[in-house]
Amino acid sequence: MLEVQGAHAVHHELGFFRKYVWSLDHKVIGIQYLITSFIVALVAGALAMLIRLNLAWPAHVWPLLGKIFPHAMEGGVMKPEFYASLFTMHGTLMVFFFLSIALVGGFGNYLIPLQIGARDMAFPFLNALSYWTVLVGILVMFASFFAPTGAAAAGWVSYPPLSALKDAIPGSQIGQTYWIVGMVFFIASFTMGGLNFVTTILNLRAKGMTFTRLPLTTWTIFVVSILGILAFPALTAGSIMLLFDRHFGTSFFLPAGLYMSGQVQPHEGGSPLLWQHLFWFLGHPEVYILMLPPMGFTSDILSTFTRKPIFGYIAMVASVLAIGALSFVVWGHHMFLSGMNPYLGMFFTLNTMIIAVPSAVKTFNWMATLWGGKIRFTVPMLFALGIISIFVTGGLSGIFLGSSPVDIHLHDTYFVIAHFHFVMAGAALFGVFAATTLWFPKMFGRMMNEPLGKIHFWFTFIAYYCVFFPMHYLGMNGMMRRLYDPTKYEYLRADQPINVFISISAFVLGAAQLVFMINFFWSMFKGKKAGNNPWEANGLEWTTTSPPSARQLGWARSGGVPMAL
Amino acid sequence: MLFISGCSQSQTPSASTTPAPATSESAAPVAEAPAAPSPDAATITGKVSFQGAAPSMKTVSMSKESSCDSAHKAKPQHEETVVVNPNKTLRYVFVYVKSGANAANAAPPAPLTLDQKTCWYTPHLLGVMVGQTINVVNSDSGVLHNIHFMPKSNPPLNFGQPGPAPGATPPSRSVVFHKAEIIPVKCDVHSWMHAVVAVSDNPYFGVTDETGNFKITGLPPGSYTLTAWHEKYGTQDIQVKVGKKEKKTVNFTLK
Amino acid sequence: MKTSARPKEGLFLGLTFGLIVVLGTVFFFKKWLPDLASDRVEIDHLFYTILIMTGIVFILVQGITGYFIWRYSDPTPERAVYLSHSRSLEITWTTVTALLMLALGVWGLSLWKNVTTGNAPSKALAVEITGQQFQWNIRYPGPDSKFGRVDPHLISDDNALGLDPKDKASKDDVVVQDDLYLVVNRPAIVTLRSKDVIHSFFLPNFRVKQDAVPGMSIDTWFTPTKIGDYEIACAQFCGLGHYTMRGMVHVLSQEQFDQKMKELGHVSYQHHLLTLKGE
Repeated sequence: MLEVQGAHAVHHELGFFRKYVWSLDHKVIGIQYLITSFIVALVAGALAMLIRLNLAWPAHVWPLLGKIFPHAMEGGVMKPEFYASLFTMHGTLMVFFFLSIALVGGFGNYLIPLQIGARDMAFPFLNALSYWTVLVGILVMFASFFAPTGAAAAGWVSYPPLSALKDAIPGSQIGQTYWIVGMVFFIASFTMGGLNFVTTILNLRAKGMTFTRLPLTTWTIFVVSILGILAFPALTAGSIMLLFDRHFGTSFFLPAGLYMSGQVQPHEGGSPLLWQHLFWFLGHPEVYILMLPPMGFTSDILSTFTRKPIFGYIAMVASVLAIGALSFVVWGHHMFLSGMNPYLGMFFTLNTMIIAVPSAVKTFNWMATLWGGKIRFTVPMLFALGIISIFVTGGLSGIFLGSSPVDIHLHDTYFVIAHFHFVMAGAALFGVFAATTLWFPKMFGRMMNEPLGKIHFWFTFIAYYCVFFPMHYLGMNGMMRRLYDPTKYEYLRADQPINVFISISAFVLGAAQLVFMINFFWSMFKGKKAGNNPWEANGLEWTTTSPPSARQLGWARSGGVPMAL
Repeated sequence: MLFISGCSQSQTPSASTTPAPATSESAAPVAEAPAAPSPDAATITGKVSFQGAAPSMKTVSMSKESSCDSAHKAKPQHEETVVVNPNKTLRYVFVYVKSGANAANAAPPAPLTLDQKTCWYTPHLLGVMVGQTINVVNSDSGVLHNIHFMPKSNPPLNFGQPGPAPGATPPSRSVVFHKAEIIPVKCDVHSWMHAVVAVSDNPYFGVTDETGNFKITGLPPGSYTLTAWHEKYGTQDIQVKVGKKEKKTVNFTLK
Repeated sequence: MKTSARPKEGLFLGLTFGLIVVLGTVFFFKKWLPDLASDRVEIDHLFYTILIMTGIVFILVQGITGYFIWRYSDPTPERAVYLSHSRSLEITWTTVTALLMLALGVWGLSLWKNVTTGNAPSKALAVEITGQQFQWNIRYPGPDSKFGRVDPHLISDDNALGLDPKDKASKDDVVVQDDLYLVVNRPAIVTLRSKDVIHSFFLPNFRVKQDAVPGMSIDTWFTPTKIGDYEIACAQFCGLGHYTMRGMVHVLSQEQFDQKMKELGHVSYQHHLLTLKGE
């Protein structure tokens, strides 16, 4: 009954603008998020290419680039402050405006109602608003590049005083203000999205869709939405305080006696560590916000393509909950050497060691799922298997960094870069690929090209290891991160061939992503037609048409949402 | 010759003294707009003498930057905060018309260069007019310099300039200031590198050379307050009146 | 047998996992940690313990996953094994992992406690290191073993730390840039400060790293054990010249050190007179 009424209510055709631009349909919003995030990823990826170019051949002359960036690469030589803007914006855009948006905004929006059997989100208007808010944030972030003194350059963590004193680095002039405003928009958007997701999952599940039957994808998005709601406001407050320190003379993060540009700065009483606490109170849960959804995807994909149920569903849910809870009490492991009380470091070391346990449980469960399976090597499956490998590699290096005494040597070195590019960035990136290739037929009613998809996987997987695995060695040797020219240090000079190898691999990795982009947009219009359930998968979303019509009318026609399982 | 009544002398320890506003008595109006050097223009030359014992300037150690260090091995570089010439005159004194000049239509002179060579600024003191282009050049191949201007009224400016590849053209960036003030300049990478850019709102200024002499040309006839500024020994003001095509000598003494 | 029916992809991917294991492991056998020149050898022990442990897990997990990928690659529509969970297996691996992690955690804790808390060694050499964009200002207290008062308002080109000439204790303080002199086998207590932004004092050969935070004085101590010259790096991004913020540690014998201090004290004293004269 209800379904039929709903069907009538929306049966009139919407115009192009209401259908594809200012849409309240969770599926359109999800796709908007996804495509927006891809554009951000292309920009952020290009920044990484420039970073690697300079690391392999520091201060080399590139006449063509000198023409493209007349100020930042005057005479073709990259300026160190431009290099700083590059790694700052690469990190910020990738973490917040690509991975978060794609995984949570994109797939969260698209999948939650379909997987729980709801017509739409609980608050469709809020949902649309959250997309448009984050889009403003992205535009503000991009605007940072066009600031006369360059984009924000204090690192993606933006530690004050570097980010607070305008004269500390050129990017800390107006560029840093754009960064702060962009972040506030991002957090506002995520808070709206998170509230919406949590409400939807709690209230709008179809009859029979109990919490013990919820697909693991939805479970993880449910948990990360809660993490976002609880953790992000800390950085909203922090960002606004930083804004005040920069423009209105407050001293939240600035102590007395700072000496800059030939004079003592008129600040007193603040603490730079306060920002670090606020940032990592968001920052660490954020890392799990990026990791958990790919874990959910992996579980569902493994189950589909091994033709087996996921091994230890309850343990999987429990470990997601445990990781979510523990992620709030490990932020200090980013700050072992920050000057905070060393006794606090002990607390964070222990918690960090413990958080490895649920992560290990997930891995073992995946292995057990593979055991005895009938594996089909579809593109999403390949990426899901890639996630296992990459997540294990990254997780293990985390044990070194979580152990505070070992962290003394490895902190702020390339070991850290290697670690988080595997465990967080890599798993999340492969998660985006796995999920996109899996749900693409549902989104657009067409298959992505399989040979292109496999070429993309193989190049990405192998190049990813070639880029990031050698960074462990660099880090062990003590190569610091955010270093414009490692050859300045004698003890790092012998490592330069490794940097060249990494950079060349990075260019291959970057080029491989173009294959994916071409495949994505080409298949959207020209791909082979897909049926309702091309993968022979079990989720509720595969029981409706591809693509599902507005308000999931496929279910209405077949007499309502089928009972889960 | 050396004159003068109404001469004031002050000493300030800070190098960033801004030119004081014109005093009313010396504000003689100048009718001519000196857009092009007028045929009537006068010239002021002179010298800045130094009284007292010359302080010994610290020898700069450039061990941090090996290429610069070896360039200075033969002749160690001394700091240039105070340079007393052999004839007991002061080098790097900025002599300018503090008040009396009407420079509303004056075109800024041709661009000047502030060179960074072997981790040292050449020249140590650069006098420019508002709107005049300064070409900041890094001639040190393979060495990063950053040029940190520390103005009070102009917008802050700080940028890095990686050195050229061996044999390549040194990078050059043009910088313009639009407000008159004395701007300390430093390189944060090499803490021994200091320079001063003195920005004048008129084109009538000069900087003393290695014999302590300065020269101001193209000055329309009129009364002026002439000021000598040194980063350590402060300022001295002298009232002068020049007639058509006059060649006048004005000498200062700082201590 | 069925092996021939397995798709090549399973074999390739399984082999790739194997290759990752082999290559990844082989390169770890090169000695990557810089030569140790301090007493913090226990950090290396813990590092290598974790390396061996995680190495074994790495080889096993990647290897077994790779094997499963090859072994169970089978696109035929036959039924897979039905296995939803196994309580005993799950309890076992959770417990084993938890115990291992706890053991590592506790070892880490006790080592961390030794390195960072507790009492600084007596008879140690006191050095104060103040970071600034982009150099390390290294100060020795001089013969009176007391650091003089500093005031940022007194900072000038000649007085990088803002030493107060009115304070007696500051008269004999020795300040040098970027060159740190330490005595072999004598503990050093380094007090870290910063004038402007956050820096991080990093001695790769000593397994020493500590942020220098403006507004804070942070102590760290260690004992150099080998005479020689080593590099000081800045590990926290501090501005456009971050990568040029390099210094040197010179580990000397006590006699060489005393001689050096005499020389430096002389230079510093001369310089000090000059500064005072300029006032």
